[in-house]
Amino acid sequence: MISLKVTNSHCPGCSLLCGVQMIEREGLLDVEFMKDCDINSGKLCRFGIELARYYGELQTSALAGGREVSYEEAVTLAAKALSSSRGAGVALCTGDATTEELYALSLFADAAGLATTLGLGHHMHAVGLEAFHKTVTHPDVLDHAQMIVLVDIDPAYQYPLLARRLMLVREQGTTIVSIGPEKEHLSFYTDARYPCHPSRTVDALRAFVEHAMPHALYVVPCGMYGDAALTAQVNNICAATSSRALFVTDFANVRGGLALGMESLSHGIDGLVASIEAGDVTSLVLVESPLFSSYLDDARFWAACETLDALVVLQSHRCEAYPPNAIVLPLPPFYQRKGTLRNVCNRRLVLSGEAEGAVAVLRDLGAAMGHGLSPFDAVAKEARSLCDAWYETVATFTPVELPPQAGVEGPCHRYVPNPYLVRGMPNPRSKRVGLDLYAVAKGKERYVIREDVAEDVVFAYEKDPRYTLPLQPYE
Amino acid sequence: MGTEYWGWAGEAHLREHGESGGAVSGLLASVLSSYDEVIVIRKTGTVFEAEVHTLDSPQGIARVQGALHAVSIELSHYLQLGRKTAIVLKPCEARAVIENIKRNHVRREDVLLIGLNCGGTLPPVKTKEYLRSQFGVSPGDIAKEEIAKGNLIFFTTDGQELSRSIDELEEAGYGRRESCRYCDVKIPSMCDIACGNWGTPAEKHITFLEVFTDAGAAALEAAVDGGYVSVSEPGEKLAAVRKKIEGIMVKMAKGWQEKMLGPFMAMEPKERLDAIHAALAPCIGCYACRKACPVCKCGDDCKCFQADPDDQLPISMFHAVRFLHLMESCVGCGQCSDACPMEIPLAHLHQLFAKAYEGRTGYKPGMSCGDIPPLSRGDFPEGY
Repeated sequence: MISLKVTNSHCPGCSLLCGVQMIEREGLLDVEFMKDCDINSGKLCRFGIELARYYGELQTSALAGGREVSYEEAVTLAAKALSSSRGAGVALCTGDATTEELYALSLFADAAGLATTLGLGHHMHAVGLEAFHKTVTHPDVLDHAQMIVLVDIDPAYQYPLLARRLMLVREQGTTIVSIGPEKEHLSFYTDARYPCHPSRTVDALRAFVEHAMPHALYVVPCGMYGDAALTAQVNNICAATSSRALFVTDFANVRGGLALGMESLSHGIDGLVASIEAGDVTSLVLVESPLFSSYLDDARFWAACETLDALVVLQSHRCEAYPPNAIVLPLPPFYQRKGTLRNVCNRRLVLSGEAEGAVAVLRDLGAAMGHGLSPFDAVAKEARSLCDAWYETVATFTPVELPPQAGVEGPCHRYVPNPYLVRGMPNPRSKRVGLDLYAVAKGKERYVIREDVAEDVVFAYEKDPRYTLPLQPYE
Repeated sequence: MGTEYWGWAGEAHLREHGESGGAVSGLLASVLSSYDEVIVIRKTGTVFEAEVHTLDSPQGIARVQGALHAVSIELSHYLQLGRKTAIVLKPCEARAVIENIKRNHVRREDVLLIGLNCGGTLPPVKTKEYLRSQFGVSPGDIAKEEIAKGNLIFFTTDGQELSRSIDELEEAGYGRRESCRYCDVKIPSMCDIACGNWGTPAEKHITFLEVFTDAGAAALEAAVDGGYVSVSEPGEKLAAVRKKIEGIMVKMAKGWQEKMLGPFMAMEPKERLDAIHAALAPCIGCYACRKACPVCKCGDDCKCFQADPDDQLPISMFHAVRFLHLMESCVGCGQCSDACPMEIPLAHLHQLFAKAYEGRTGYKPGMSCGDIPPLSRGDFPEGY
């Protein structure tokens, strides 16, 4: 029998969740454009085009103490380590997981006494969960906005299919404005640009809003490297002007996790690392969170993790290396899993694979620790019920006190994540995400001076005199 | 011109299921005795949703589709060197296969090309949007679609017939994919057999078959001998109607070529270059166009990758090399435009070069394995 298997799937590259077909033929994996998908009409960014390569670098074996072990042995060791950990524990999933997997993780964490986080605690702490609620987004929110304000975002680089949507809605008459560091590509889908230094975006927004029309849509990156001060400023603008916000994240199903109430920390990844370093957190379960190869200061993250009593890693994409105390349990690739997802516009989407993924692994781990987990269908039913209930609740923006904006000095720009970078995946054909540049930035502070990264556009910007110009009001 | 027949499936269930009497399904069932596999599309949900599908036995043939107007999966990508394959193709896909044969990616003797007459395909998302906004109909309620007599017709599951003139639709920005509008190859004469419902009596459920090659004749003969397909002589009048339909559609296509490519061609060289620069400016270097192209099969060694990806030239070397390469092989399928996340009209740009090249050399890619590309044979017209 000649095998050709087609799986309708969604790209995990960011929270847009573009539709894609994965084709397996005689051991080879390839991508086919899913032209009927309403999100992207089959179009993909470079990461999507290279999904077969991403899925080709799999964590296939269980590891413990730096050596390959059987899956069963790894589960036993992980359960033992978690059970005997002396302090607080955290379960972190950055979001490349189905809603069912996230729910299973939250059930597991409850039973094991772990806090859960999506790496967005700093945003949640600043604005509260309600700001991320369904009232702020809708599948057609981009198509129906009269004005879209891009806040410190580079759509063509970070979320190219969002850039396409912006181009299309602009043709229909939507006014698009950009506030933040200037980028050449912005000219293709913006009517007005207000270049400002990253350290002044909050102030720039404040000045801008006095001239902006109400009922606008603010698009702001809200990932683990996103600035909580910007999130809060956008929240306050939305509260004051009856506007809406599209908080774009770097991982697939963050909104599914938010709907399940998974964010229980009041700080982001930096805070988590500090808690580990302080000895407040002694066990960590990482689900699809490849921070060993993607966290900008990964040496610090690695060193902190080495001090943990228990470090359990559930991972599909292979990391180059793990700390010696890591117990690694392999997951099937994203496209092979079954379950549901919520994209940034709250579309409920289906992954049509067959594997339970982390649900099965967490069930085994839970069983080894003495607490069970329902069969997949029951987990799915409960997760859906919780998600639906959350999305049906009406919420509004409430003004909040602004946290200080992250400081940054010099002709530089904040770390701009994209699908490759946040997954630690090099792209040998482009300097933009090349490992050489990544290596330069490693071990440094989040904000990297352009001179240090030479010919790059990821970490820094050219010295641009426009940063020093006063903000022009929007008319 | 090939040998013409009317045909229909021998088996009742294939006749009932087939769009035009199941002749293509019958043919596929038959050829599986001499080919390793057949490659087709299979509907997975609504008429807008389908996937590539392979079969190595007649089981399940009734569930596959010859073509869906709102599905434009490029099937020629799925041919493999050394595997005997029968494949059902639109003309542009068939032309891509011919180009791949010339470049030794596929062997002609390994493939049976069953072509489908094609008046064009529809972009699914835009068409769904049109259905919702103009007819208030959910795409899931469409049972069948058809392009006939200049109209796009949707048949709903509750028996309604929703029809609009293609001209009107296209003026309003809907209708066929742009590359389909100016495609002037409607009957795939480069295939072994061309199939379609043009030139068949409206009241009968049959397929018009035109056999172009010995391999096609052998396949049809075996299908008839095996009882998979029945054939008869086509009515003379209707055979002429088929030619007339083709002529009308080609004329329409030429009109679109004039309309869409003409303004570019009329520009002064500098102005045209500036227009090309401007069109390419939003490129984000994702290489989706290359991935989608059915003719570009160089793999990682492709010359288009050998330029500095960060070059500061007005046109990136990636696109410049592709324009040069595809000038004599672009079949105008439009897959590059479909794939471009920045909506660059790449198919237009490639056709600008390809049509100019065709005009000067008389070479039209993908029409015959025997046509050697001028750049390969080196005999350019004087003054070229």
